Amino acid sequence: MHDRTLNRLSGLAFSVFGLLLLVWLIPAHTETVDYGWMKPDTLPKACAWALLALGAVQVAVPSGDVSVNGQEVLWVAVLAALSGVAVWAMGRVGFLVTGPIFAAVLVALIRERRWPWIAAAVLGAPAITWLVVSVLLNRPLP
Amino acid sequence: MPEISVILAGLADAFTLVNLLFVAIGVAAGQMVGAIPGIGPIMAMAIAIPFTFALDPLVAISFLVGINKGGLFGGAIPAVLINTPGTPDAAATTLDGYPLAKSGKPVKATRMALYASVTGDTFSDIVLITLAAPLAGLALQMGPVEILALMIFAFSIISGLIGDSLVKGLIAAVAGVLLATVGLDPEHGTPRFYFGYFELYDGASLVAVAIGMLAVAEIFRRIVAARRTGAQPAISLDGGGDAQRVRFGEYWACRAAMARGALVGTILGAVPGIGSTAAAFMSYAATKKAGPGDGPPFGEGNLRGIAATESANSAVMGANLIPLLGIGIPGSIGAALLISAFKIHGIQPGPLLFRTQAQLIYGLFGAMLMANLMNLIIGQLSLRLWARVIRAPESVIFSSALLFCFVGVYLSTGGLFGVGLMLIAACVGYTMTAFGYPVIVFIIAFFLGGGFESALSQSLVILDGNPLRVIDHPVALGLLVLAVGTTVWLGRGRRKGLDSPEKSD
Repeated sequence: MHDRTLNRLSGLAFSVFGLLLLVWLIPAHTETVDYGWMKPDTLPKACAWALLALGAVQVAVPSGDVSVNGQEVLWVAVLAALSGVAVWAMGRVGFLVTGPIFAAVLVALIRERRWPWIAAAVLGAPAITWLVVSVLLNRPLP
Repeated sequence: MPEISVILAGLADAFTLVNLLFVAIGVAAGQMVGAIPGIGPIMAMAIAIPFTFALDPLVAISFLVGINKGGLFGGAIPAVLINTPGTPDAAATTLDGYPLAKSGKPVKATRMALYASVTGDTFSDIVLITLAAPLAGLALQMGPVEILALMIFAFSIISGLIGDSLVKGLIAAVAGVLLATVGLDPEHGTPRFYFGYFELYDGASLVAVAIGMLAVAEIFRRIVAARRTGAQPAISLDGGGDAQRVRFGEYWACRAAMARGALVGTILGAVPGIGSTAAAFMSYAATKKAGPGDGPPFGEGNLRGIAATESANSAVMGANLIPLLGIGIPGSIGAALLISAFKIHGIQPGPLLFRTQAQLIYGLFGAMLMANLMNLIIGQLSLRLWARVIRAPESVIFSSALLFCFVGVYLSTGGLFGVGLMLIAACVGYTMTAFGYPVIVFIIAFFLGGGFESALSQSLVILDGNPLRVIDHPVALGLLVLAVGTTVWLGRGRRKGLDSPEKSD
């Protein structure tokens, strides 16, 4: 897709977000106060109007570079999802189980085939983390 | 001004063997944690503060200052070697540091960062020592209206200079301020945008957001790149003698960039709320405007770019203590942590400190100068150690870095909620970068947002709700005029750039 089109789309997204803030998010998630110069929704509303206006400017006069790579976006989404699963798993079974498994998945994704480096990533990094945090600092790991 | 005997007694307290030892340990620890993306000196200071309770107040505070100063340089190490800033302050150092490292001169790039960091830091410490009391008096006269105007001026400069589009910079700044409104509002104390998560009552964690946007988003990108290219060493340390050192001529050629950076860092550091990241980018932008000199273009490994950013972000540290010691207001997170250290030792930072605890304060100044020397010595000795660590393949570096980010943010925020927030910030940061919105502007605005709202609230009370009454505040008015002028000037500059043949589609 052309840069100008992508710039227009990003501007549109910010404008829509500004609108969403004004019609739903700010009324639903700030409390109504009827005294003082600055109310809880004063600054959020100012930001929402600014996003609406600046997004519209970006739609009308698109500017700046864009570097969207479809394949990279897909893989970053996969990594983000895997990381989300890892965070969830850390809350259930802890870092000592999840850490090495997550590291192994990442190493496999990078296609590392050298066993010493695989061992360093899968066992070494979680072990050092455990040693520093739990043993030396006496702080709990997830 | 304290008597000379008190000043000398304070400096003598600083130059004891025990103090020297703790400063050295602090600096080494700071460099180490600064070099690990996702950990950083702030977290190390936060963890260390409870353990300093048993120490003498000067030793404890010197140790914490050592961690902070070590971390200022430590953050530049991964910024140069793997394009991932160890701390948000070092984000600007990646711009020229990493290209220089990629061109086969990683040690030269890191050494330049070290020398510039120590130079900027020493300059700001000297300013702090000589001008602390008078400048504190001046800062005391600066009211909320002036602070608000200064923040608006800073937003206009940062939005205009960072990134390649003024509109995108402004959108990023507004979005950052918006994120800062999450949590309790400063005037009424009512919760906003917490979506049922009580962890958001205190607002979104700066550590989680900054590490997510700056480190995790980059790690994701680098893992995908490593997947495409296959596993390979992150960086090569091969190179001749010139690639391994910074000649005095090269250092001297960067003197203007370092002086500019030290000055920008010291001025911005003395103003509460404007941190080292902003100083680094402002200094970089100013040096970029001054021209690349006889080196390669900026962004392709120019030593002046590294010197400008590192001298500025390190100069902030000393200057941050001016409002802290003068009026008890922290200029940064590091300074805020130092307040905790002062308090657990029964010392209240504020205007009376120079009168009641002058010996301790001048002892602290002595320790700061000693920490700069330690930074230089330990940095010189440990460069190769860090470089060897970075030689590990990307599969090890980035999987380990991601785990460190998880654990670091978990420790810093006290739960997995912060880690989840970090992942969301990473996704937002990746998307913003892909579409050309400068995440660093977003983060600076987010960091300043809380203070901005407080200053706005206080200003409206002072101005009785009438913004036109700002004419009664000439300093604030001047800053606002400068902000408008800067925005118009930078906006017109952008348009000319877009209209020029080489920038047109």
